[in-house]
Amino acid sequence: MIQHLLDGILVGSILSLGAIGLTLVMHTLRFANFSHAELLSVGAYAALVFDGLFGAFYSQLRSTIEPLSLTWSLILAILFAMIVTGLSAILIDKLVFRRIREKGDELSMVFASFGVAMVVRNLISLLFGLKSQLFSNDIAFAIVISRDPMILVKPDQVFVLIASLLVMLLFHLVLSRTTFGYALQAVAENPVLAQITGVNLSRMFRMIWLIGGSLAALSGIFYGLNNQINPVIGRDLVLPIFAATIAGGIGSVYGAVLGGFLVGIASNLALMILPSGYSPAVPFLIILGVLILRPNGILGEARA
Amino acid sequence: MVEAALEVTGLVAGYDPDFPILHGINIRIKKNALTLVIGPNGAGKSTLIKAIAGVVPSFSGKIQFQDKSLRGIRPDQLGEFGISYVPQTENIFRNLSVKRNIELVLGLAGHKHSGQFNELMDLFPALSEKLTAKASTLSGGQRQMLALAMALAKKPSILLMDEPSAGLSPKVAEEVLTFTKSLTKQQVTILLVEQNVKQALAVADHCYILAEGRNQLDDTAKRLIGNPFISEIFMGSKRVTS
Amino acid sequence: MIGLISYLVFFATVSSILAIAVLGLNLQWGNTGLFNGGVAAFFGAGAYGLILLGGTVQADHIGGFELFYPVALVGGILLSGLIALVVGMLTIRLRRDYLAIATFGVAVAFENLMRNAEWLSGGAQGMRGFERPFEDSIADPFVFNIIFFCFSVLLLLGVYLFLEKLIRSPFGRLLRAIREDEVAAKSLGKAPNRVRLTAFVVGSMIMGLAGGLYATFYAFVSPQDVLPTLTFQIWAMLIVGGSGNNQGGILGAFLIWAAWTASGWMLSKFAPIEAQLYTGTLQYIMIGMIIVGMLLWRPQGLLPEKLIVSQ
Repeated sequence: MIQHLLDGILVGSILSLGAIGLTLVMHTLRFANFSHAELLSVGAYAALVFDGLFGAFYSQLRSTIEPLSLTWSLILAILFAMIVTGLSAILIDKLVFRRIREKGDELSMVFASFGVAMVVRNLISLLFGLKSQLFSNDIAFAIVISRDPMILVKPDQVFVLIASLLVMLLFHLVLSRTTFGYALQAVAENPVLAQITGVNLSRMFRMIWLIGGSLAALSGIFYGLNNQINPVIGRDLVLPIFAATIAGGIGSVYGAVLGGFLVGIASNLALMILPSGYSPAVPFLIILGVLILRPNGILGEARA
Repeated sequence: MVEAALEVTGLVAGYDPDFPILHGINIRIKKNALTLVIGPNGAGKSTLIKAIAGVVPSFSGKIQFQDKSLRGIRPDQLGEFGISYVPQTENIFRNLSVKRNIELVLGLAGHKHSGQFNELMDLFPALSEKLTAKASTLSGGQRQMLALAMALAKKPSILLMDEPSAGLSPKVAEEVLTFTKSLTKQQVTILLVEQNVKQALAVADHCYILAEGRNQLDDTAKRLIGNPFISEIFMGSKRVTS
Repeated sequence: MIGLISYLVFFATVSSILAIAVLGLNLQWGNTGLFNGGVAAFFGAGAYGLILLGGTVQADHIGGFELFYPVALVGGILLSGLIALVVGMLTIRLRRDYLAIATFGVAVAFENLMRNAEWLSGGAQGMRGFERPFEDSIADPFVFNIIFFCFSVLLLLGVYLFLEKLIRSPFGRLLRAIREDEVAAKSLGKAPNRVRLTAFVVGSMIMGLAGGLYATFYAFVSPQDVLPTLTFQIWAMLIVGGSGNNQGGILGAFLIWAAWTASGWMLSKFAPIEAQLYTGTLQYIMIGMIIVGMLLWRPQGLLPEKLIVSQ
């Protein structure tokens, strides 16, 4: 029970990072972006590539940071991967979504995002192969927290949880303390008025993709650190992230964080009663539950 | 002749180039004066103000501000020209607190020091008591005050206002209009669109009447108040306000 | 020669079956503007429903009721309709993209359930033990396939005529009115959500019919038949053909299925052996590119929607 709860909190923090970007895009650009989860894969593979590059050129970076399995080169790679993924998100918007947005059909964007997801996922398969990979082949030993009941935690998991919470805290400070944060909320609420007030919308949309993309990258990397990296990370996480977004309420960043933890914990607790094969279906049940009980999500508000 | 702060000539504008709403509007907005635009529903009053602000596209004609053309600018560039625009409805961010609404504008305009914030609070004492409240909790009059405060935070030389008195009680409407008028004494030029003709004419300097997207008549407010035709259509029994 | 004809019959049968599903989607998306992200689930419900009800007794899972074929087929269709009704009732009044997410979720959950619930669906092994009607009396499989092809085309034609009649009826006019302008439709005194729900359920049932035929043709269904890929394929068919145009949908079904099978065949024939593992990958990229490309450069499709003036 406690082990499941701990695992759930960990997965929850990873989902929250992914859901923040999705909720921003869904609210400001007004479409359900089915390709958002592919940015997690882009981020994970970008980190893998940068990690390899940095490690190859500066061998001293390959030393691990005890007691984690993380190396300094991976830490550096994470930063680069976040930027690259954010820029990829901007590029995809420029190539596809913005052009369709200018024609004015929101649902066509949903549809286009399906196509984009397929192309991105399969290009990654082509480039990196279908096999799963790992950031580190070292075996990270779990720390036994308690023997009865048996509770195990890996140092990497603790790192991921703390890092996720710190990033979310940072984002919270930006939202609640800076003009940029206010502008972000203003655009989410009323883009036309935001523009009249002086917000440059296209610059803001680029920033939203950059933030959403880099948080997605972080989410994908952390997922890869705890599991493994493969081209179907996006396919496997798209529904949990949507569930987190809907549960939290579309447009609410804090809702997305809450929703992420809710989905992560619920999915892990569900393993106590359901065979593990069914876990991919749990987010769907959460979506159904939310739509029945609270269609606008925990922190969301109705919008026409 | 008094210097024009903003001059619109032959403006054709609307949502669809094949069906423009404005068919060649001409308006001179005099500096540091209050210019009023009235007309029946569908005359294109709001479209005119939106076209100047860049919210609605214009297809031909001129919008001249000093020696610069405003046609084709984006609404977020208005501030660079010293122009503020207050839309009729949805003119505040309801999910942000009163304070953050104002801080957002101050921050975007690049003057984010408390001095100006306090100046604004002196102008709108009612708002200073509600700083931490969500803007959605404000009353109608307070919302208009907040919208005005946000517009003034940019220190504009021209203020475009779309029916600020809509939905307000006559008493509050008068307060808002009187306040608006008082701004002209502080070197602010005002273009005001109103349905509330009687109260607006009382504070206006010059007035244009539009109908079906065209100029019908323009004169000083004083003379229009005395015009029996105007008073019959706009203020008498055949009142066409909605 | 017989081999080629036999292959063409096979190809045309599958295309016709998929075309039926495309027509169901066209009612939802083309005519009503409803986004169904889980076509595979409604198709799959028809397929699994048919074999469950019409199949022979199997040791490892329930079913095997051996119902009369049309009854089993209708049972599958009703199952699709039921799922659509539940999802639709929950989502149709909400933001329009909620339906997309919920239906996408249905498809994931459906595939997951079919893959894991061995007692119900045979799990990953799929469901066998279905005896195709008249298969015993028609000895020659070639003749059987031709007859089945005719049967599929007849059903496709029937669905086509039904939908053409529907969109020309007052109900069809209402669908378009709601798609274009909900406020105006409301002012006509119609409840848009009910009309939408009806269109969504009927469209899903048509997909269920396609799924039933598909399962009949192969006398087998497994989780591999209800992967999200199927949803993308059906979508690509509608967009390429022209959403809102039933003839376009049918054309798109044949074109995309031809492109899909041809690309698979070419890759298996000419691609180096190590690249063959990536056949599916390349095909998915192709479908994704087609979807995005059409939306960017020819969103109306090859046969654009005709403006229908209702009498």
